[in-house]
Amino acid sequence: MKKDLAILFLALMIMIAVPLWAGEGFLLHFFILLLMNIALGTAWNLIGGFAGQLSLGHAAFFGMGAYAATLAHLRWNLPGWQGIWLGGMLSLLVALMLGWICFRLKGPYFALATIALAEVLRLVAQNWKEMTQGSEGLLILLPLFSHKSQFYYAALFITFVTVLAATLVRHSKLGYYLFAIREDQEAAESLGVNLLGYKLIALLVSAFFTALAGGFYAFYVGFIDPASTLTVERSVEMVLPAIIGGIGTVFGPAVGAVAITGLSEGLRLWFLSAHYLIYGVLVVVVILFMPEGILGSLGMFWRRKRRAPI
Amino acid sequence: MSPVLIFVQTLLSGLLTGGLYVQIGIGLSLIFGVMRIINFAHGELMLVGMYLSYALFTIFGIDPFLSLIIVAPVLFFVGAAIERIFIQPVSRAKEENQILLTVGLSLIISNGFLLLFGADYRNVTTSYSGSVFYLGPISLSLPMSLSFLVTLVMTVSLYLFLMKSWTGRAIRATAEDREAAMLIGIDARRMGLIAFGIGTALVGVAGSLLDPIYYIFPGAGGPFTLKAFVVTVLGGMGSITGAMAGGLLLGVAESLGAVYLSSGYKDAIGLLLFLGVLLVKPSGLFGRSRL
Amino acid sequence: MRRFEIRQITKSFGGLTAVKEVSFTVDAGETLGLIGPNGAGKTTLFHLITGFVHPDRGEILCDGANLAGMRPSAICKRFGVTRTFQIVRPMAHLTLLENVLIGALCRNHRVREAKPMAMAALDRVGLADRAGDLAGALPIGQRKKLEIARALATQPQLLLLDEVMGGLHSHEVDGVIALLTHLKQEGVTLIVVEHVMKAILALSDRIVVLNFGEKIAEGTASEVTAHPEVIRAYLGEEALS
Repeated sequence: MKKDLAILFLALMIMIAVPLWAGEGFLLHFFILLLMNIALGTAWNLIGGFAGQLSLGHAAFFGMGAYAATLAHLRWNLPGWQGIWLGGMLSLLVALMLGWICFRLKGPYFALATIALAEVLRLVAQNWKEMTQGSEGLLILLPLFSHKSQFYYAALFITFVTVLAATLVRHSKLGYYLFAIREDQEAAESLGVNLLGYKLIALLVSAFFTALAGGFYAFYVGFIDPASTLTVERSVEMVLPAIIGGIGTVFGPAVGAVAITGLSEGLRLWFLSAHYLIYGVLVVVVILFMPEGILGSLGMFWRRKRRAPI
Repeated sequence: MSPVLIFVQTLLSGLLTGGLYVQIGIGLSLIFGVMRIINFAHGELMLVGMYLSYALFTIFGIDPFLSLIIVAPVLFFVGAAIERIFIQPVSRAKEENQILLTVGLSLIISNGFLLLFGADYRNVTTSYSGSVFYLGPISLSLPMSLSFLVTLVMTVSLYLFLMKSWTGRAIRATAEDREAAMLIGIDARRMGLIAFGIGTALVGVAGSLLDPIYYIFPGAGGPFTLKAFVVTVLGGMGSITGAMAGGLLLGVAESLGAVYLSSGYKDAIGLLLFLGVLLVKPSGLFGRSRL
Repeated sequence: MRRFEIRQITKSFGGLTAVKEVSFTVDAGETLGLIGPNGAGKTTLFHLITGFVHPDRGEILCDGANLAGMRPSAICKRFGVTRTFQIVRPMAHLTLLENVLIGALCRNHRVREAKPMAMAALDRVGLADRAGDLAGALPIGQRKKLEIARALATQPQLLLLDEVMGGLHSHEVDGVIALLTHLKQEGVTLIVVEHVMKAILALSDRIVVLNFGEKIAEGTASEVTAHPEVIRAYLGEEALS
């Protein structure tokens, strides 16, 4: 635990200094996107990696956070942070329902159900025009902050809190219980682990932080619509950092996020719209050759080295 | 038109759509029944069929209903190749990893087409693309009716294949009890390969059938993957007859919903039905393991 | 320590009655041997007692409270009933310590306090020196011990052992018998399903015999081995004459 907290604080120190040299242009934007991907990947990893429940519909929480924050701002004139917080609260409610419905289902059915739920929300967002303007989307004309660096620090705060939560969970009873659930549900039950209860907690925490990031996204980009917030692509994007960096580790999603953001923004300069293709290749390659992810494989390699006779 | 006629019209249109859903979903059910794998790239494999038919039509002028004779075997080999190269190696891995692999494949295929063909909406317009014929006052789409017939023929053929031929029975045995099948000398891996090939061929043909009536674009696959899942879950994963019933049921439910409730939420109907079945009877309307 | 009573427990799967009106009691600190030919319903009985399967009829009483129908996690947490599995289920990607920690956390929320308890449990089964190894790396004999340690860490009132000796060679069997004898001396209540007769005879205070889901005999080892129904069940009709 101490080691992880030390790493976290070190990373925080490094990241705090970024706006001092990154300017206010594309480079800072890149770091903001990176932070968002770290937050989203880490949040997903709580339920998908730690607890082993593959959710392919997390866009539901992201979109909910984005829409709640935007609507709160546009219709009820709530200040930014309150809107984001409201999105978080709303996501807890939906997560509770989603979890209660889906956690009674095993493996692949759960994944399918999460996709179905996210899709239902997308259709609602698309058709409930009075509320959401449908496919036209919602525009926030008055930006929350005047300087990009302020957005950066907001993103840093959200990301820091998310990763801190993941670290605390990992080393707590909750964390160990989630790992047990992922390994062998029935064995865990025989040892007193309440499956539904702990899965729900993991999902609630995961949904909350995902929604926070969604709310931030809405204010940062200034425009949201169902196609940018509630699609399967968005859900898959949230899964990638953990898969590539190491499912079930605290910092794996962060490592994966660096890889993904680097690739997609780097490619955008040359390749334009093919970054999903690269994502697909990455997933296939990782699953085939390195299913533990970057950090996971490193961890196993380390373990083997330590045990090898001299 | 009288309310009764409207109902009958809606019902029949729904059945025709349902036929397409059957064509799309039956392959997925077969694959799941034999290999217990959820193939998230199913819709993208249909996309391969769509683009292949489109290419055959645009370059050689072959009508989609004819080119499916070419599409079916090509897609069979595509499916078999994918199974051998990508699916086989992870057959021992965690279920979640298998699912993610197919998600990765779906990204590769759909975005591959995006690179090759661009994001433009293309279509195959034949002389009969918009044609309609009449049963009394009821109008039915001609291409969709033809598709329904094709699906009927293919489904019956599949059924006969599974029931009568040695390979078909071996496939059913593998689906029912993999280890027992291996014990009596059936090469389960080979059966999985064949099943995956057949399933892909079936959904590829669905792509050909869709060409005259639907837009062809890289994102077309995704929504149909979801539909295929709804069909298989409704009917019971692994059940062919279940997939037939499930597809027709989905088509009719959507059709009725669009006319009597709201057309915008048409797709939501299937999803809600899907969630309902998962909650109440996850084994589907027809249970599973009985191919 | 609590007293457990199984009363007229019945469970059918489709047309097959796996367990039929089985009744017996287990007193605090007692070791009950549960034997019977394969398919007699022993493992199903374990599933019923630990909540993995719910009975059609009958009650499972712990000091008077009925456990039937509760979830396994509640039965473990509230009544201290835990089990090992016939086919071992180590959490392969976790270390030995982490495996046992899951059990220890049942009784103590704080990881910092639960870890030494987990180490102590590992020590009792003789696996303390491998605490940092991944459970997946263990050979079968040690996997069985790990499962016992894991169950012990929950501080059970009633420990159900399902063919713990299965697949062990005789040296390992002696080791486990010694371990279980220690547990008996500490007062842990045990129900042991075993085919290894040496173990059953060494450990059991009383024995219950099942056949085709029904209890056909109950008593001490000598009473049960002389019982004609038992002989018929194991050796067939001819053995009686």
